[in-house]
Amino acid sequence: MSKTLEQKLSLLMDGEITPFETKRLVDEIHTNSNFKSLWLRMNKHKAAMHGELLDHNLDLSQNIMSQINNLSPTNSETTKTWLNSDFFSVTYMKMCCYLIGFFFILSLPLLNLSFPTSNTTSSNQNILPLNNEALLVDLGSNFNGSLKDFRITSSSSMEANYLVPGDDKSLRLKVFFDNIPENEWLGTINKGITVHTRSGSTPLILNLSSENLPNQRLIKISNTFLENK
Amino acid sequence: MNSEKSLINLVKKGDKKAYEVLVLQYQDRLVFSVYKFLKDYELAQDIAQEAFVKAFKNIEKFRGDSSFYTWIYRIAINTAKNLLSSKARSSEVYDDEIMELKLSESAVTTENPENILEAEELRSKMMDAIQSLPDDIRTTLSLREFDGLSYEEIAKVQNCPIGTVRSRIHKGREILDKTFSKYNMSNLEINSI
Repeated sequence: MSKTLEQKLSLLMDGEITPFETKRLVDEIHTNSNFKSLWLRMNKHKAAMHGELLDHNLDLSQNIMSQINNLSPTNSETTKTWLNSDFFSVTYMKMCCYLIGFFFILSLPLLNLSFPTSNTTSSNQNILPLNNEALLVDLGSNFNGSLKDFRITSSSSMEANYLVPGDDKSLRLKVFFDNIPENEWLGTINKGITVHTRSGSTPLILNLSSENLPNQRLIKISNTFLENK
Repeated sequence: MNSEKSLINLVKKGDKKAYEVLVLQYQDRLVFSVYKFLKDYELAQDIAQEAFVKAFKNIEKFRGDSSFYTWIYRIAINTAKNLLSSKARSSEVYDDEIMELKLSESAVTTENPENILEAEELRSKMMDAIQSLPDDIRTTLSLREFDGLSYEEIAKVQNCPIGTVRSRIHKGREILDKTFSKYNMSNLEINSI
């Protein structure tokens, strides 16, 4: 047995050794039976010095360690599982979540996924202008019509009712934005006059109809949209 | 530096080898303490054994406010008390005050059972061995063992380097080990006659 190691046992007994050396000595005591015997004797000397040694042959360690080794993992509070280990502490899990989120966002272009933006257009997206009412009022100003009410009929169309001054008659205006498939807007029109025009830079299809305005009057009104196109 | 704290930390991480080191370190002292209460050597061993297992199971609850020995001593004494109270209950004469009295009486008993005699004899032999140590080694070891001074404090008291303190204490223990081993051998020879 190394003299240095023997001296380290003496230091261990007095609590005068570093954690690293403690670990090394623990392993040494476990693997080297002579070393273990010396540790046992040294502690017996100490107990004897203080009048606390009843039997110099007493050694309960084997029985105790055997009982401890037979404890089921659930009984032993020292047994660490992956769930309660420091490795999976709450802080660490939070950190993992942030990292996963960060890498997910980075990988979006690779996955050809994207978040919706206001500039993206598709047939399922609502491309109606944000201020629908303003557009309808603007359209009504072509024939001095007073907007009574309106409703959104699809993601790319709406319908409004106007009161036409002078005639005191009502006019229905269906507005389609130009991305709507032809068969779709044709399917919703069964009467009246249809014109292609634009509002600013936005192409529009307008359908004018009325229960009580004559066709001549409707033609005149529709012409105002073409003139202002 | 606190080796005991390091050992406990290792145990908390699941190192059973470190716990065995603690068992080897404290078993004699604990058996002796329990024996003083129970005056039954076999039972004292059982209680000490149970206390060590209980302490291992609950090591996460050990916060280090006291020394490990103080903690396990409390566990052992509570285990002994529980045992006594369950015995008392079975004979229907249990009374907390009576039990405490019984425990304190046993602790200060003037009787000298065989085991206590042996402990005294061993102590006497050990003290003789200490007296026969060279002066500087004996003084250094005594300051450590009986006055509880740290190595640094001993170095200051004796006005010597801390390395000298280390080597003197180690040398002293080495001599005691030889003396003690001789005593054990002669004891074994007497017992075998």
